[in-house]
Amino acid sequence: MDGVTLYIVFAAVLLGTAAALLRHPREEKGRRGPRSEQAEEFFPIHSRYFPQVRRMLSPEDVTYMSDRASPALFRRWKQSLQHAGSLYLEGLREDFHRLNRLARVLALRSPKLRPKQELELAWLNLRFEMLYGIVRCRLWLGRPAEQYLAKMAGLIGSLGRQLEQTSLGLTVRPGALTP
Amino acid sequence: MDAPQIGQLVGAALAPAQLAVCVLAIVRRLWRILPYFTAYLMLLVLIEGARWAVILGAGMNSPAHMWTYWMTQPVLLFARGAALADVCRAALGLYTGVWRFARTLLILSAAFMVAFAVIHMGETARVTSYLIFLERELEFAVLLSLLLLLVMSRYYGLTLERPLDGIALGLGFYSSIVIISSSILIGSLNLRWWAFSLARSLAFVVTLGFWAFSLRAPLPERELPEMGTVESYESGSQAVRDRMRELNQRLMGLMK
Repeated sequence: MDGVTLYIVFAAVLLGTAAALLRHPREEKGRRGPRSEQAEEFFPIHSRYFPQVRRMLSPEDVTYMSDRASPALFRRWKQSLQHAGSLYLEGLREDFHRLNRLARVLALRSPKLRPKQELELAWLNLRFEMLYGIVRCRLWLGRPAEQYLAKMAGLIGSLGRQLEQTSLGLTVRPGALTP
Repeated sequence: MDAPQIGQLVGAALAPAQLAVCVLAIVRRLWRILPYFTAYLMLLVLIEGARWAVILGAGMNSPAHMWTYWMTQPVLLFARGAALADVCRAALGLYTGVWRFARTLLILSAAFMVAFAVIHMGETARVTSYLIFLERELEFAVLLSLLLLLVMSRYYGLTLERPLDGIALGLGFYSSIVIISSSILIGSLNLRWWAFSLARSLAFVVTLGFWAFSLRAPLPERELPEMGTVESYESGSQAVRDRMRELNQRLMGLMK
């Protein structure tokens, strides 16, 4: 590809990206200015249900089912567990995004930012997304994941606690962020 | 009517269209949120008027017109840069922390593109192609800066409201057409001069359409955001960062 074609393609791609970024997200149509910060928007929802998910994924259940169920039924049961684990992982990611959005709101409303800190937050977010993808693959391959999901849920919960203590008075009621 | 005549006709339609958009901007009191952009619209009308005065006096293909065109083009280009800076300030300026951060990034990206243009200027031989090359690189700086603004706005959950969205789209659209047409002209694709002029004139008519559409109704009142303190940002974002890092480390542990 010569220089001229490269310039043309690059300009077209940049314009297309700009047009896509200028489109208002569907839920934001009709809303003026920044999104309003409702406390519920930042609540970690899924990590609250970890005790139930932990029981569902416990190794005792696996032993029990492998002893009593037929191979076909056991296989189906394992598949269901995998599916539930993936859905829960998806929920944890959603929780993470909510808290991440709180971090951005904090930055947006701060009179002064630390550029290094902002770049690091963006980088950590990117890394989380990549790692999440890999963990999801492992879950899909049927590797045990209960303890890792527990760690993730705990982590998101403690993140919520810390942010709750330092929030800007965004009408986040006490206990709202903590699972 | 042949193609070059169509080009001249479109060129002639530009002056009244620019005047109409300029009047619309004044009626909507656009200067209250975008003073440099409003000044750019006025400058457009003045320069287009001066160009037409030369055309009527000396002719379309006269050296006087070519000289006037190429000497006024850099003025308009820098005015467009100032207009884009105005859009950036209007979009993020209310959020002082984010605006300071964005301003640094925007200046760095624009400076990089200008430096790139200056370094590669020696590659062109003729004065005209030298100016076209410089213009293309500066338009690239405009387009990149616009994209950076939009990415940052989206990252922080902000959307460009009317009239900023239409004005930004117009600036980006015209810059991309200039980049594409200039690249074809500079390159070996042998674009004719009248086709080059026609493409630009049509692109500018479309751009004026975007701007007029964004100014179709009275401008919405802007609400001042509720700002927090530096301390809450420092402690809050520190907590997020530490937890993200920890979470990433744990996820990394899963890979082992």
